[in-house]
Amino acid sequence: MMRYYARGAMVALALGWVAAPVAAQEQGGTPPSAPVPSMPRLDFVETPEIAATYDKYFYFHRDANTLDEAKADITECDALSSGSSIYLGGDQMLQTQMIVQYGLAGGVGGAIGAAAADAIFGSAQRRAQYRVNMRNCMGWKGYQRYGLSKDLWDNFHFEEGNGRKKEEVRLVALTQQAMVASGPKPATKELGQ
Amino acid sequence: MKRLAMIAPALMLATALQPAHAADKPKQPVPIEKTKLADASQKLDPARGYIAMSDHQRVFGTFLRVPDDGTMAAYRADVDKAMAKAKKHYASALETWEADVKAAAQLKQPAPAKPVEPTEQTLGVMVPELRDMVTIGPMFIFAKDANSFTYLHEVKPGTYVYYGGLMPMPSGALIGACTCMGTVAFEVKPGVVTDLGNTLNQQTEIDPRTVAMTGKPADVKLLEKLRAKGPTAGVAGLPQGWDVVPAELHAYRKINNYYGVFVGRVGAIPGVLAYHRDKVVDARTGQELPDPLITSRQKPKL
Repeated sequence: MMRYYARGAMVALALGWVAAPVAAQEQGGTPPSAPVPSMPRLDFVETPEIAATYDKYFYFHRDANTLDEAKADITECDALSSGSSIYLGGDQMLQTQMIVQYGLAGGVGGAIGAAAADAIFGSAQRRAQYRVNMRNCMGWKGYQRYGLSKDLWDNFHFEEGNGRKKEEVRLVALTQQAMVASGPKPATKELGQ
Repeated sequence: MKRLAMIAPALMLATALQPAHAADKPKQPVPIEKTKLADASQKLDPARGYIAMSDHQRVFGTFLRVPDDGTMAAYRADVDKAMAKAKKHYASALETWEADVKAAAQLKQPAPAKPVEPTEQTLGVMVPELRDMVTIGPMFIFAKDANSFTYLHEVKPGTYVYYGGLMPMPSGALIGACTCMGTVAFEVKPGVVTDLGNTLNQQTEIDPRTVAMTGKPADVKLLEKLRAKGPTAGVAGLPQGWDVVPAELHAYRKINNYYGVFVGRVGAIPGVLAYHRDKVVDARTGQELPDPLITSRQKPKL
């Protein structure tokens, strides 16, 4: 029993070496397998107007990278970044928690107010939060960031201001992003994290 | 292990001799207030843990408690209860579906989707890692003077992990930035105050874009000014009998972004926490900590 463990074991648990008790709540379902997607086009002519949108339209690349590593990195960062709760009242689990703790008023009142605010303000903020989180997560993983024109960016990225895209769409896009991230070194300017 | 075998029976006997009393009802974390210590409506409980946090201005932080046997037992009990209920609903939904399929076939219409069998992950039971989460501050200061604000919070003893500057909302959401990509843990022993000082706020990496979206761009300069003021420590004004020990910080692995907030991390702390790119390193041993499985808080759309 935990109480009787030596102090060293308590620290070991804290350091995450016992994986089972702290397993994250995994999402159910397996996405369908997709055919290998094509390498996206990355060459375009930069104009000042296009350069002004690099805060929104960019891709990542790291030298000496493998496709598998890039896939793992992008998948982890996307998992951390997706499902922004800006203005939302939290997901279903939390709503249930609130109802249990504060009675029905705690859940419903919060949900209505938050849902209204979210419908008005949420979409752009959610997309912006996703971009901030991706830039930090991939940046800490050692990736460089490069600008892209919107129409080329649209070919292999998705925006989820108002709900999650279908899994098969996400899988293809994330795979293509990983192909780019582990492909030839871009010739364009590094933008910084 | 031999020593453990000798200690265990003695400890088990000690536990058996404790009377079963109102300690069975779980106590909630609570901020300790000086006025309540003065009129004895609050007092030092030798079975409870105490976390102190301070800084040169009001601050707040959210902490997770590393699950122990008690947490896992409560989790399993909740899962069993929820699963029993979900299985009942599934059984009747299945019956209805079978009838609907027959009816659809007769009307030459497409069959409706089959109900999905419940799994542990779809029950909506709070995961062990989030149980006993506690937020300290920004309200209910214990002590303040010209230079610092100090908080003192009573909690269940155990190992706590800093999850970031996150504030709970009435709706149940948290807002702010988590330290999801690397943080620290510390033990909170019963009967003593474990003092964090302002180390956590001093060490969390500042991201200008996150600051701009959770506050104002100008806040970055204010944060830097705050950090330049240096460390705070200790808890002024504690009565006799309260011992204060500095928290011993240990590197802690990545954590899921359970609340869909901004993602950050505690910066490198010499001798405690380091990074090989994004890999969290326990600087006490030089070992990289294994990443947990990170999954999105969103349900996949299949």
